[in-house]
Amino acid sequence: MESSDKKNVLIIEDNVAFLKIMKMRLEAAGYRVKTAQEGLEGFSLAQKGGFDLIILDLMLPGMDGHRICRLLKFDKKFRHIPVIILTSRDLDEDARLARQCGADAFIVKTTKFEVVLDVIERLLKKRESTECIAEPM
Amino acid sequence: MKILIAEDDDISRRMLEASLVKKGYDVVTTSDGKQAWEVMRKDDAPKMAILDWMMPGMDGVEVCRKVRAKKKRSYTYIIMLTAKGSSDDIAEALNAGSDDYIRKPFSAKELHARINVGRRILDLQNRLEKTVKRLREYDKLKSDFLSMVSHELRTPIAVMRGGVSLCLDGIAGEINETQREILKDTLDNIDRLGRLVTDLLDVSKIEAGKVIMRRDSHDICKIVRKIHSSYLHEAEEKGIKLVSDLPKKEVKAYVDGDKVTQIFTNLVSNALRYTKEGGTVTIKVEDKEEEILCSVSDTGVGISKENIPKLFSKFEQFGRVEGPGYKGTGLGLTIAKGLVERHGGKIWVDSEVGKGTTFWFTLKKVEYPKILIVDDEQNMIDIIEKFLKEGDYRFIRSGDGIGAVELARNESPSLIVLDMMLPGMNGYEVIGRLKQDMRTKDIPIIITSAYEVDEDRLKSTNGNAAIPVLKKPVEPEDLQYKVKELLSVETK
Repeated sequence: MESSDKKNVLIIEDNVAFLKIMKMRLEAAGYRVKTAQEGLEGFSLAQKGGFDLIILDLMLPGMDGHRICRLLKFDKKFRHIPVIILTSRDLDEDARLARQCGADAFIVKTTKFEVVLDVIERLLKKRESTECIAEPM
Repeated sequence: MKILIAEDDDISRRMLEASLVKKGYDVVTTSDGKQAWEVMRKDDAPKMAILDWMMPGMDGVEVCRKVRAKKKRSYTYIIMLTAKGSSDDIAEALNAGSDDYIRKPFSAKELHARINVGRRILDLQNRLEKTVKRLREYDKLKSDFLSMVSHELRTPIAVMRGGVSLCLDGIAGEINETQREILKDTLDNIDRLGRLVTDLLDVSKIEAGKVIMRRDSHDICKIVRKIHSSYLHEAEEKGIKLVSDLPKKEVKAYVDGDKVTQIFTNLVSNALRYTKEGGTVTIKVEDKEEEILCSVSDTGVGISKENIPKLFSKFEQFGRVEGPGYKGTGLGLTIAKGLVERHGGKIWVDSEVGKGTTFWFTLKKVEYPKILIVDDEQNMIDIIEKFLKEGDYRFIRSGDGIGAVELARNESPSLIVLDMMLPGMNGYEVIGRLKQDMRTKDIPIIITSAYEVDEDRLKSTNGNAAIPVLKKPVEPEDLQYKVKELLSVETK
């Protein structure tokens, strides 16, 4: 993959160890990765734009993941960017909240990376296909 | 303690008052029923009331009925004062909700004895309320604990899993064969720990009654086929034959698909674990009239009679020798049982040592939910039905408000999709009527409206609770999602 073709992924996650692993994994899979360990910092990074996909933890210092997701999804400029909530909580309430705040996927952290990667690829493809439809206009 | 005396006869009222004041009670008096009700309806009303039966305006029995009809935070002990004395009269007073009665003319001794009975009961009531409150707090603590455990245990597991599998995949550099083996064993154990946490959480959720059912239309055969293919590899590796014995026709049922999958998964993985090479594991589904009968049989080691009763308890593995492959958590059957029961079914086992084991369970066939669609435009009703068609619901329809209220009363639908602009009775009035009627007040409602909805007015009709509103034109996904969400909230 040419470096200019690389997709940009933002991970907002306060667990440094998990963040490091995710970053290595995604880079090995051919993505360009930026990270933030704090909610507000992550949100302002997201707002600067240039990301093709955002991976969010729920419990974050500064600003929690639900809030970040909602703010992005309610903003015309960013709502098209797929957001994956990757969390260690899996109660029914959490999944419901994730859906309510407009997240495109809800994945529990212990899930195998291949599955996570599969979701990422699917969400990115989905986005590309809508972009294609817009092209002829 | 504060006591209300409602008695229209002046002499009798004064005697009562004097007698109670002498004993140190805080007394409120009134001479008619309406006033008595005004006092009793308040939140800080006296805990005890002595009501004369015959009063102008509103009689004691009616006050009593009104007090009982109002859901109050705390209990009011009511003593009916009556000159009537036949057993029919007494029965009427008690049936209206009074706790005791005193016949006129009364003696002070009897009056105080009866008040003391009331105080004992109020005291018990009070203790009960406190206990309930405490239990609610514990319940909340348990939920908080659950989500804490789910988070605090999973995070380190996720990190360990991520790190080890990353090394195994060679992303952190080349590893040699010995290292690979060690890491693989480590990963297996991390996964075992992960399963244990998941299972523990599931058991806790079942025990706390926090399993939310998301019923939907499913073909049980399709679920089994999926499980069959996901276990085929493991079975082949162990040299076990995996067989699915399914009816030719699909077996549709209104169940929680994920939970039914989990039941089968737990039983099949158990069966595979206790069956030796050359054995067979069979999954069977039969469509009976009122229920679906499912079974998972193996030709494994079997379970002795003494151990069968212990089978569904937590952490019981009673020394059955497991084959190679992953270890169980000892919670699978407990979870399966909880989930079967949540579906209104039963689970049981037949087993013979040395020959094999069959686990049977039933899934009760539940009627598909009935949805009442109210809209004055026929094509709008058609559209909504079309949007919801996939979910296998039954539909009833009404083009106006009065008809809708009538249908809701007679047909008790599971859900109402209500347009606000209706001829005759508008949406707000329909909701008002529905919420006032015991038969219809708990039916969830989804509002569809082309115009802004007056949220405050809505809330006031619904005891301050919000009602979901979908703006027209309604998006099919929003509607399907809302409908599923509202139908999934089942009583425990």
